[in-house]
Amino acid sequence: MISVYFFAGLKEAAGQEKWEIDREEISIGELRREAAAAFPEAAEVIGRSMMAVNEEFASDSELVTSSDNAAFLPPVSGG
Amino acid sequence: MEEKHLFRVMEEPLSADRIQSLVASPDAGAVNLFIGTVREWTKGKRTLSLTYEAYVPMAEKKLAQIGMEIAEKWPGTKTAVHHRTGPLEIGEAAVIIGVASAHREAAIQGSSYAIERIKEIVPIWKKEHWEDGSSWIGDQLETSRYDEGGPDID
Repeated sequence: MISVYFFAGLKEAAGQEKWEIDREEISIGELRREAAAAFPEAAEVIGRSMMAVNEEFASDSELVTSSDNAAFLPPVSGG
Repeated sequence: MEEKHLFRVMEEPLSADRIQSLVASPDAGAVNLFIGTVREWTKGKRTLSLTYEAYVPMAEKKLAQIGMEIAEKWPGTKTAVHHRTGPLEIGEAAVIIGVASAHREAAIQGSSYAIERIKEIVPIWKKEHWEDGSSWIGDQLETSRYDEGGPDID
């Protein structure tokens, strides 16, 4: 089981802040596709989001395992 | 002990005095403080209030990374950044950056670098509340706003 966190506009579009996918290991690119399929109303924001694994930005080719913290980060707007 | 206070994301009101004291040192000849505040009017549209949300552990890590980048680019500088989360009123400080250096140029340039980097790599988001609704701001250039649950409008 991999836990994935959503933030800001993505959290509102998906209607939840934590999503669990029943996999032990998945590439970020595939995780992106699975999330977009699970939350079609949030697919557009997912497409524009960065992914963080263990609090570092990660690329689509990287793997996430069940021991990692994964999060989708919509475009940031702090400051 | 002190280092962990330098880069923080918090719900409490921010203090410029606190930031100044965090970066102060006898070697410094300058402390540049940048305070980002909540603006009421943007391109003719009135903001009533803002709400900031953060991925706190990553945001504090990325703020510390920015501090290290500044120390590499301008050796001898010391940086502190506090960013607020939760609901903010017009005029309140959303972010305060302090950079101390021996001479003023590094402190001024370091602060400017910090606010640009915050808008690029720190996972903090703001939601604008207007008279006619609200929306998460989509990116730091404020050009790709997206409506709640709706399609991309760009």
